[in-house]
Amino acid sequence: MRVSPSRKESMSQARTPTPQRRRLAVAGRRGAEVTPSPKPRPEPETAERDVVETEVVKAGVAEPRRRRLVLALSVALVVFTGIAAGAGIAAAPSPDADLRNTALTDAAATSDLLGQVNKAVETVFSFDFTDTAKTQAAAQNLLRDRAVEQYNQLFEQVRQLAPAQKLVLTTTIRATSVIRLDGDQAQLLVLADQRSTRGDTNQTSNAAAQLTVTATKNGDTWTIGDLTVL
Amino acid sequence: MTDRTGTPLWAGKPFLVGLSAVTVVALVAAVWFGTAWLSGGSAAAATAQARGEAQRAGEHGVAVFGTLDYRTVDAGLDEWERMSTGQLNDEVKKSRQAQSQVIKNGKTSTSAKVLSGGLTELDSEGGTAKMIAVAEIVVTPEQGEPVTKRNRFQADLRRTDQGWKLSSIQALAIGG
Repeated sequence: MRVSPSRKESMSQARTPTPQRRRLAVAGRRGAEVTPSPKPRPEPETAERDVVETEVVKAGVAEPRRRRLVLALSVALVVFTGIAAGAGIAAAPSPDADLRNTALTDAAATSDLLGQVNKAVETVFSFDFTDTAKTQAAAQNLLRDRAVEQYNQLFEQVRQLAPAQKLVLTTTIRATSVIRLDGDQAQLLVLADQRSTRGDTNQTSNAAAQLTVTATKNGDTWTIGDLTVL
Repeated sequence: MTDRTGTPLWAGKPFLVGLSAVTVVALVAAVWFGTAWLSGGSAAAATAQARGEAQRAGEHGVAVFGTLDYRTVDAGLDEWERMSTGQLNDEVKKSRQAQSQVIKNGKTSTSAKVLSGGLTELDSEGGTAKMIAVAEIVVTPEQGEPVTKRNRFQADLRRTDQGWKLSSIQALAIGG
């Protein structure tokens, strides 16, 4: 029977520490939070005041530093905004800067277009009664769309009169302006001189010719799609 | 302004975070637009703008120099002076008196309309350009029918503080 109380004792002894350990463990874990928690309950006003005071003190200490920081950030903000706005306005394409038009701004493309159109106009508007096929073939290659009809109208009379008059017509470009160059589309103003010589009478006459030309690029070749005599 | 705790709003943490964020955004924008500006993408735009300005001024200049009405000859010659610079401006000023008298005596009025015009050269940095134009000129004598003709012109342009102006203008003669 000794055994039983000792057992009970030992059991109680064995049991007792367990809750204690638990309690300790619980208290230990919460220690920092739980320990002051009873205080605010009886004196909530003091605690709040404490918190306010410490914050005010903190703010008071931090204020000059924060003030400098806010000031620095504000200055930086103004400066950056100024730079962004200024550069943005300067970099933005002006409303009358037609950026799609690369006439003169793209020197190589402008020069290529000028060379081809000048040569095309000189070729199709030059004519020798002894070799009409040459001009005909050139016109076929260099003219498209409306320009074909416009050209035929301009040249119909010349073609009829050429054999009898022994007509030689030579067109020389005086000046050409690329008014618009937008990818494979272009518009030009061509100023040319035309010298015509009649073999039957040996008369030579000179005339001024002004054309507005619309050209289209196929591959590397510019062809004329519209010819308007001014 | 202060919040409940007596801390000024500008010293509050949310304000600082917000201010920092906005400043960073502004920095990014400044770098972005700054690079766009400096990277010469604007050079093409500047040239394109100069081309547009020079062409418009040139066409206007050709029309001005092709227009003179004997009834308003002084106002017309004022326009000639306004649209010209350099040597052309000197010539206009020098021959102004004689020109005015000739037009007044002749009692003719001439008006020009540009049918087409365009630049043939452009130096946007140097501020010079060359152009050609075709204009319809109507000459109306005091008595008699108006005469219409087509003239073609070559002109030099120069950029001034008041925009692009003509520094020379000639009719482009045949075979010249």
